[in-house]
Amino acid sequence: MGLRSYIIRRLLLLIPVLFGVTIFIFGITMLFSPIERATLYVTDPRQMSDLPAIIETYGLDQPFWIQYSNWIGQVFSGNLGWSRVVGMPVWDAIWAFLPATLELAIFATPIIIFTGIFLGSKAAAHKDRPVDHGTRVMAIFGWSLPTFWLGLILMMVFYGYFRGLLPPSRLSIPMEMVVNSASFIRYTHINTIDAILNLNGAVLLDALRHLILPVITLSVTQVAFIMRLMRSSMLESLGKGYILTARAKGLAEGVVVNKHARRNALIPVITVAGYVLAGMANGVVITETIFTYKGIGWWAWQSAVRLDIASVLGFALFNSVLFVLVNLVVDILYTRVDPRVRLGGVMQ
Amino acid sequence: MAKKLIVTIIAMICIIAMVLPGCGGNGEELPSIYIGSGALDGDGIPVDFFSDEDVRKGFCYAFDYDTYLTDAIQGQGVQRGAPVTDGLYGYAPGTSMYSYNLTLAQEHLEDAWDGEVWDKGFKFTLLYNAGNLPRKTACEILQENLYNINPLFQISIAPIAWPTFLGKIFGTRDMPMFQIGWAPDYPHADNYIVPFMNSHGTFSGFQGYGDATLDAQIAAAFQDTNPTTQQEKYAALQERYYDDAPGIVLFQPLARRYFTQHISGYDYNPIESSYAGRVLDLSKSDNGDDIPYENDGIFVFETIGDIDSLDPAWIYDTSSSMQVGMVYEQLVYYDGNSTDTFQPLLSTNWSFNSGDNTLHFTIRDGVQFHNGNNLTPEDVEYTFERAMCQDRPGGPIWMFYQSLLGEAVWGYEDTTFAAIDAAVEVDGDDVVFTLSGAYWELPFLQVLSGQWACIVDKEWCIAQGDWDGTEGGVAAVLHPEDPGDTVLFDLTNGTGPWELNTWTQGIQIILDENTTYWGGSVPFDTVITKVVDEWTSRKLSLLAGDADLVYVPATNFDEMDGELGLNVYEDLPSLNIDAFFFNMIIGGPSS
Repeated sequence: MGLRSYIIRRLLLLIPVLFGVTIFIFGITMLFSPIERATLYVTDPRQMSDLPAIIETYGLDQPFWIQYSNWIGQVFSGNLGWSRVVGMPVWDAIWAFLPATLELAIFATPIIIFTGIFLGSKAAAHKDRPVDHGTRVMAIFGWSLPTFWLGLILMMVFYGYFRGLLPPSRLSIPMEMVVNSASFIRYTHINTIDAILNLNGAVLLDALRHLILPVITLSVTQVAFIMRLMRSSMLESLGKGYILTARAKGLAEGVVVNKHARRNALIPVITVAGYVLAGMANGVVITETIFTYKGIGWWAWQSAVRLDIASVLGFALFNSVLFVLVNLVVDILYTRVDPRVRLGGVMQ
Repeated sequence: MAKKLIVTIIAMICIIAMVLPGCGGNGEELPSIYIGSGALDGDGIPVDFFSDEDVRKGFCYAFDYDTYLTDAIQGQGVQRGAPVTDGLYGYAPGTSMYSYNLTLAQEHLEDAWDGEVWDKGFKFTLLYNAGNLPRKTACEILQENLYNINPLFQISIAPIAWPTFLGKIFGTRDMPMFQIGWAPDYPHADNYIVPFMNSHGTFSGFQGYGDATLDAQIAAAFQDTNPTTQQEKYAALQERYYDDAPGIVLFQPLARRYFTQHISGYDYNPIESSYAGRVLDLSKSDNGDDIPYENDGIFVFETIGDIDSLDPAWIYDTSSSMQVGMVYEQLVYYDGNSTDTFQPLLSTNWSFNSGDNTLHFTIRDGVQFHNGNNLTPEDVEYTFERAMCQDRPGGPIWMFYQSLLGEAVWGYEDTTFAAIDAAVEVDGDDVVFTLSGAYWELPFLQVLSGQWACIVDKEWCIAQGDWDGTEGGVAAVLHPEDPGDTVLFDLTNGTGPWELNTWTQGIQIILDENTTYWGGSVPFDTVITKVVDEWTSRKLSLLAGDADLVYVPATNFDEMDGELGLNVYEDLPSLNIDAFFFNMIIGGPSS
């Protein structure tokens, strides 16, 4: 069995995964009474006496299976439902809010992974020396910082104290007008990329200015996490026999550390980094909310808070697909860093 | 691996299947877990505990109103004796109010349930919606004062999520008492008396208060066309609420607005849905440097919560109403700060004929919609008939039905197309509304001032695929489920001072100036409303001049006190009311 059939098999697995995830979430939401779920449709206390009519209209008092099969039927006909929270179809909402999250991820992921790996291997190579102590203290500090606190403090300093320096939201109002004008073509809805494609320096700079604080907020905790993982993984491989052999045959320390030790230490880090990236789709809730940098995490959170079941299910579907795909990519990456791993081998 | 997954799924299905039937009812058990033993034995309360007037009055006297107003809501409210608030037509300023008086509270509680309450005491749980600190404080005040009167009076307090809270009021009805607020549809006493006192009212219906005699009195007050006697009847009903004490009326909130120093012209009308007031009245100019002057010609408002829809016949929330009110216009609107006098907008004048209960509007000449179409009387007729044929469930259109087709008609299913068609007719340059009673004259003008009564363009709507104006076309538009099901959800063509540029759902709405506005000059080239959930972000935006107005929750008023460069409007009386309600049949009437 080759790589292709391995990928196909993994993708086929998505079907039971998606079925299980949705039936589980749907089941949990059914624990709320119809009237509680009906309150989603109410935006004003004046409408509360209409709740029975709303329950009737949306069939919220139907048995579980009927409601679930109605929903599945809708999904197969390409309709994921209506996202009340943002007033558009769920499918559109996913695509509308993904670019903002992607933009954060594009900037944060390299920072998180490369800084984490770099600091982690530095610390391990200089175990128990000042560099190691320093990075470890930083890591503990970073890992234990509450994101909402860090985000608010950064905003109070760089937007409040230095008035207007690094503002929240994705673009300032003049640039917003530029982006919304007919002459600016929105290829991706990722502002920095669109700005480059439109050769508009002002929009690019403005977008970057709005990205600095959210990216820092998002990265600090994750860098600390990757760094600690990298350090322990690196220490483990530095203690292995082949490192002793490499040193014994007189290889330069740099080659020993960077080639022999680091490559092997990367395997667990790659696994985790994949999840960090996938988890960013929902882990950015706080950052996106504080900085009004509205992406898919903010949308999912709002949907959950307001019991917007169609949105929550849509997000769960999206997230499951994302996790399965990331897992697949991680598996393929293994073969690059570790030739011992071969995909599509004999099934156990 | 696949096998394992299938087994897991089957296991999950089994668990769900087992859990689900268990959530239904509790069989023979007590209707509520919040009433302890369910009897008057010192360990609980019976389901009809609050049906005893002495219990209710004892509770009313045991509440410390002054401490609550100063500490819990920082003075941002005024106590009222009955739910009808100052500013509503029919408000009676002389209505009696309960005061904090532990002696009187004790007397009533000693008499309650023939002395049994006093001897044995009671225990129950008081719930409030989680996160609402003033409501929590109100519960604590009651808890502490009752305990001080008699240590056998024990209340425990617990928070509960908002959807569950609503579910308990209108569904399971298992809370002994609940605390909730009310806001007006139209500023008339009837809009408060009915939900609070009618036996089928939004609150009273669910707390088991009211009876046929009282319902008849409420109807008599509403249908009285003599203003003097009508006012007397409303005053009597408000005094009746005080006497019956079906709830503890807490306060009428006072609002504040924080603009930057560069914005002037704000004029508060309590029934105005728009947080910014009428944006057409505002203006922006560089006025000092405590706050930087940014975005010349643009008005930026940051608030919480996106709009539902831009369809006038759908909207029933303040955020949507604000945007619709800038893009569309009504026939009439409230005059200045008044809630019962009106100024013409898309009509030039109107007259009421009490002989046949008809209201005649002359439609303004020379008004154009944003697409260049002229405003015609047919557009007005179409607007109201379209709204009634759409009849969004849970929407505002019940007010059209009630006022035009009678108090028995709440929606399309209660009437016929012919009746709807006849209720609004074109007569030359006029539009004639036939009201269901002469007493609807004032409340109907109030209903017409709401943003749900904004005029749409018939020709353009039909071209966009909206209702075609015939009975046969009703089925296609009747009872839309989702906001996006209506054509006017995100397509607009109004007569208002601004037109829609873009609505980025969940993020912002940008409106551009209508350069051919019939009413003359428009103060802003652009109006931007951004949805910003985080309070600190909104506050800093305002102080940096990036926003001209932000939504400030009452709990953050203190924080704004020392800030420079703001135009602050204080002590603006809203028309809302907050109250405790006693549930006189906990769990609802037994079936």
